[in-house]
Amino acid sequence: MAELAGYAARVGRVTRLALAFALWVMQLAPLLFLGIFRKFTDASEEIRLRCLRRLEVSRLGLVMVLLKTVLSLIYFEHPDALASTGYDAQGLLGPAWAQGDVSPVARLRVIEDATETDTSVPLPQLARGAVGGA
Amino acid sequence: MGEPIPILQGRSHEGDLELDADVLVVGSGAAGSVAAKILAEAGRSVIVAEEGGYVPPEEYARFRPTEAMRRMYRDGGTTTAVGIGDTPLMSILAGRTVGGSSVLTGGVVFRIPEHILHHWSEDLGLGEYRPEMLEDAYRSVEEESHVETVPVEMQSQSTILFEQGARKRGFRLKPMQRNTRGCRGSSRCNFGCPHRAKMSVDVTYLEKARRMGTQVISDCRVERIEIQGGRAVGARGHLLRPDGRKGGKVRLRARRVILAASALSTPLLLQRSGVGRWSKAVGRNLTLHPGARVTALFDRDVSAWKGALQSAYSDAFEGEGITLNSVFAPINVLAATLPGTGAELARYTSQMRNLAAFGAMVHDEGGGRVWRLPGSDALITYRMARKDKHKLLKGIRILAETFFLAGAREVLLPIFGSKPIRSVDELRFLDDDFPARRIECMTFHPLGSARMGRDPATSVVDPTGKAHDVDDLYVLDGSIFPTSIGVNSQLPIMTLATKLAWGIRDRWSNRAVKGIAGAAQDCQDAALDEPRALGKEA
Repeated sequence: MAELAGYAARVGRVTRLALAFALWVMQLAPLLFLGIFRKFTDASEEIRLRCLRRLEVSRLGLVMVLLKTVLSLIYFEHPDALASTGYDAQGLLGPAWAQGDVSPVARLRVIEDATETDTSVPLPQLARGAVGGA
Repeated sequence: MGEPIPILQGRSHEGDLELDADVLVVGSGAAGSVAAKILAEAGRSVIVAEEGGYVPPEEYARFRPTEAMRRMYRDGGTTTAVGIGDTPLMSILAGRTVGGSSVLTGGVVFRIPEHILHHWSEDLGLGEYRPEMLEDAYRSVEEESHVETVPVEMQSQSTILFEQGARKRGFRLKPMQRNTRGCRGSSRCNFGCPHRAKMSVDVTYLEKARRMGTQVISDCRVERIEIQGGRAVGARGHLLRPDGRKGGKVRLRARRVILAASALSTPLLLQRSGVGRWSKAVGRNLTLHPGARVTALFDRDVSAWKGALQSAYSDAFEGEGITLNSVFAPINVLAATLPGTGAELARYTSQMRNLAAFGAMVHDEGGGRVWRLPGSDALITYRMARKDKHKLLKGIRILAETFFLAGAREVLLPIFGSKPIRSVDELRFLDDDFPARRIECMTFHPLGSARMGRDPATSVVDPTGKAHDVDDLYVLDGSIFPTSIGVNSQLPIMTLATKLAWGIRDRWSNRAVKGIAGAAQDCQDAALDEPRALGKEA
């Protein structure tokens, strides 16, 4: 939740309004799609899943897209969630030398690129040469 | 050249700030950094004001995608163009950091197609932009940015599979060129290169400009251009705290003011400053290159994250306004686009290793507009031309057909609420009448919102980049493009900025030696130029 709050704090005003609207629609989804007088967060798992399926294909589908996007971005950075995708940690989080001790990637069991040599690889030098022409 | 001048980080600067220089550049992205370096090289004192924060390469190398989005993207990566009429909602990814979007692009480099430049020069009266007249600027940027062809061995399995399908469908892929040196194929270019292999402007042009004395100020929002007697003499704004709130006041004085804040921000600054108010072009004519990504599931390990994020393209459909580009996205971004929720979503996310992706981009006719909202916010709207919608749908169909020919088991279309399809026959629902609002659309190349031209009634700047109605004020970024270009815009923006900055430099030099009339002008300049030295803080 802290990650989500941190992310929401950085988005623009228009997106914050859209997020607030999306959460409001989601809370009303049991009433809007199933006629059940209950908030989404108070509903059973089965009702919640039915609501999500209906919402995804409805004219309000963008609500679902917005919430799913923000939550997926954060959820699938968790090492356990990443591991469940079969992802081997190459690329997404950069090389092991860059991660330090606090990186969640350290918890992943499979880090194919985490070789000893990585720790000693210096950053490449800058491009050389002057602007020509004119 | 000495050590780079340290970046003045507005977020940690106490109090107000007042600086003077020969040149003020607003924006440190692809255009602003190029202009800063060229004018610093010519001996001018230069200030670069950047709204975003400064993140050194050593730091962004460690970022998770959401950290990069929070700290380096405009609106945390959630900027969108609201569709009007039969138009999809479009996600616009743009940088807001020292180095701008160049830090966050795939590094893909294209020259502007010659037929576009012929249109500019012959139909729009911009004779200065004939292809041969950009050659020197192209060469300069390509050398400085270390443009190289992506080697075949850097292609991901995703791209290789797509190419197999393309050959069966009758077209070929071509290797891309990118501004890289020592790429190791981490496939996360859009969140800052982890190996400092991408030659983005923060590690090339801007660093060189800083070595030549340019003062970069991060977390510095320029809110208004100061205009006196019809001439730009500086700008005012505020420093920004880490939470985005306003800090101290900023006043920057300069003899030339160059706007390079991007096609999304430059028109806002022009509007706030009353520039171009009589033209019908400020904030209008925004083009976006709408694009869509199609993903496909294969019965084999693809591990598409191994290799260059973007390595090949096809211009086989260029005549129809469609370019196909290899793309990939981090797992968490891809997961958001997969269908379903709960167990159904998990079924797809657990097969991430089997997923391939490719993209289509449309050379659009425009229809976008940047509206100024109260405060510093903007509303971006876009009305997609019917012709462009058809191109986008056709691009999606081509991608899906190609993946099936490559042996894909299922194809996941960028259509909200759609189920994966298992054969080409199932594509029939995607005809030209399909509602655009259901297309998942993204764009990376906003252009044209303060376009150049000869007529002040329909354009904002002249072919030299100078504002029609204000002297000493120039716009050098993507907002001056008179039309969309149908290819990735980084190199074209840098090339035009180079050509125009050379022009500013040369005219300035000429004016200083042209005799009595020039001396009188220079005296007038000098009056505006006191005190000259950088670093006067109030």
